[in-house]
Amino acid sequence: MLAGPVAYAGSEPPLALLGALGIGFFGVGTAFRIAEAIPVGLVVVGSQYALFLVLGDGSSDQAAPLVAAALLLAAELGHSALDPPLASASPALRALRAARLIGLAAGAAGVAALVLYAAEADTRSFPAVEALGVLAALAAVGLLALLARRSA
Amino acid sequence: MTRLVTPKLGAYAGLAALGLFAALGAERPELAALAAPFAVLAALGLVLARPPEVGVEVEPALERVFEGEEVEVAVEVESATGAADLELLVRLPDGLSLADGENPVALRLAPGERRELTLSLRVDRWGGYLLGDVVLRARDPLGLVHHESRLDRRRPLKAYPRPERVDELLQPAQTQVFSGNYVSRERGEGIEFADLRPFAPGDRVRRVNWRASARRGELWVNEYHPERNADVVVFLDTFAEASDPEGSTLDLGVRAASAFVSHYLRHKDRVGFVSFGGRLNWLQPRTGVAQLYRIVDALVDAEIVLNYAWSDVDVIPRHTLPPKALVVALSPLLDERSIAALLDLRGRGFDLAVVEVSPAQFTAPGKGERAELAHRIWLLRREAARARFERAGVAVGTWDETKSLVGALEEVRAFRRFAARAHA
Repeated sequence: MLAGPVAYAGSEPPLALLGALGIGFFGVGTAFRIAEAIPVGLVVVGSQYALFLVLGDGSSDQAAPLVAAALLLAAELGHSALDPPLASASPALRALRAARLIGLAAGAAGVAALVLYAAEADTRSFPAVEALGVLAALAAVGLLALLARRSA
Repeated sequence: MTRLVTPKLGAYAGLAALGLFAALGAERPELAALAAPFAVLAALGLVLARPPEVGVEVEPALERVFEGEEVEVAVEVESATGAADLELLVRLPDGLSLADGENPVALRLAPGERRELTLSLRVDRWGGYLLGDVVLRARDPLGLVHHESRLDRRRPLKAYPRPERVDELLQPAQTQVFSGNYVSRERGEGIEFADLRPFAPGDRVRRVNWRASARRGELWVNEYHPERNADVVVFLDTFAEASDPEGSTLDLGVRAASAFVSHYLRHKDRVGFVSFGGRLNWLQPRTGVAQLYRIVDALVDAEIVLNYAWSDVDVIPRHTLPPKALVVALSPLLDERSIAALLDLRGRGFDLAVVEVSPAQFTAPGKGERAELAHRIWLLRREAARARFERAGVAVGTWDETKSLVGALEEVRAFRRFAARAHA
């Protein structure tokens, strides 16, 4: 959580201020178990990253998958601090939980890399990619419908 | 199972939406890349969240234990569907505490797996317990949705009071007609010599006292005191109690009552029980081991029930208080109704002894001059209540932190010896 804002703060005071604010919200949320403060902290840190991109030279940031993984890891750890388990887990279960976290971070990096690759790909020269995008949009709508039916 | 969506799901959905809008607005795909994992996770979490089928059985190794003992409880958990991250809590009623084992416990169950856990529970206080209120919480693999349920697998567990040490019992003033361990005042067949009297037709030859007969020139026979049993009624005052976190006057009273009942029954006496308070409970005098269990079961159910209605001894069924019975009352002497009822019993001719379970040991004086004065006045009132009993010829032994139950009984015995001499 600390590494991202510090790395992207650079010499710009607004970036440093946003980074510090985000870390502050996140820290207060985890320390005092305020559920609302954690997403606010993540949003502020995300805004710092967005501002960094906007203020940059316009080139694509290849480290975005790492930022996504770090942000998801921070969110997972923050929420697990909010809702600690009732019982102390066995070493095997603790290892499983740690492996799940690492897997989630790795998966997040993979998904982010895929999105970045799809965004940068020249879809006009690859009709298959365009078709994949249409399929993904249809799948997203289908998933929404499924979730709506299950929650009804 | 109740499905509970965690705040994480809402936060992830919101973060994903915000990131995607920001990506569109700023025309930066990196922001979409940041938002995508949150969106995927939120969607996957909802799709994968399924309530697990978990079955739990709770079985204590024993149904009856004594206060202070430990009891093992087997908890069997099985899941047909499997549970990735399951937390199980067996809620323990007040009076039971965990001595060994894990409660709550976190488990991971494979589909069809059955797991047996063992909890060792310490019984801190006598009473009737229902054990097996189980709370389950299952988290989905991504931690976005919880499923909670509460299972009622309650099994009865009776914790009998730990009997107080009693060396010698109070002797009843009058005995009954059945054979027992007390030397009766009556004369008849027995071992204890009572008196001499002239021979009468029908007397056995073996009862002739030859030495006395030779001296007086006619036949004289020995008379004996027969060994008889007694009727004893243990009277437990449950109108009010004084307590602190360590215990209460009712706890002590129940332990003493348990000791009295088992000792008198061992002496072949018929023992009855009256729990006199907001709720009346009684058992007619009987002998034997079955009666011991009946009374101890009734003692386990004894509790203070707040009641403002006036009660006197007329509410007690007549057969519960047989004539010539020794009534041993255990009372903190806190409620005027129980004091009046006991004095009424004495007025009706019952042989009454009162063991005062002193509430003073549970009530420290407050801070300040007025509070100390109030405490002293309260203690003086208690002395006045004791004096009312003594004026009525009733022995009162005080059982407090300075004196054991044995000491309180000795106090009662000493008064009864003195009272017997005074009557003579």
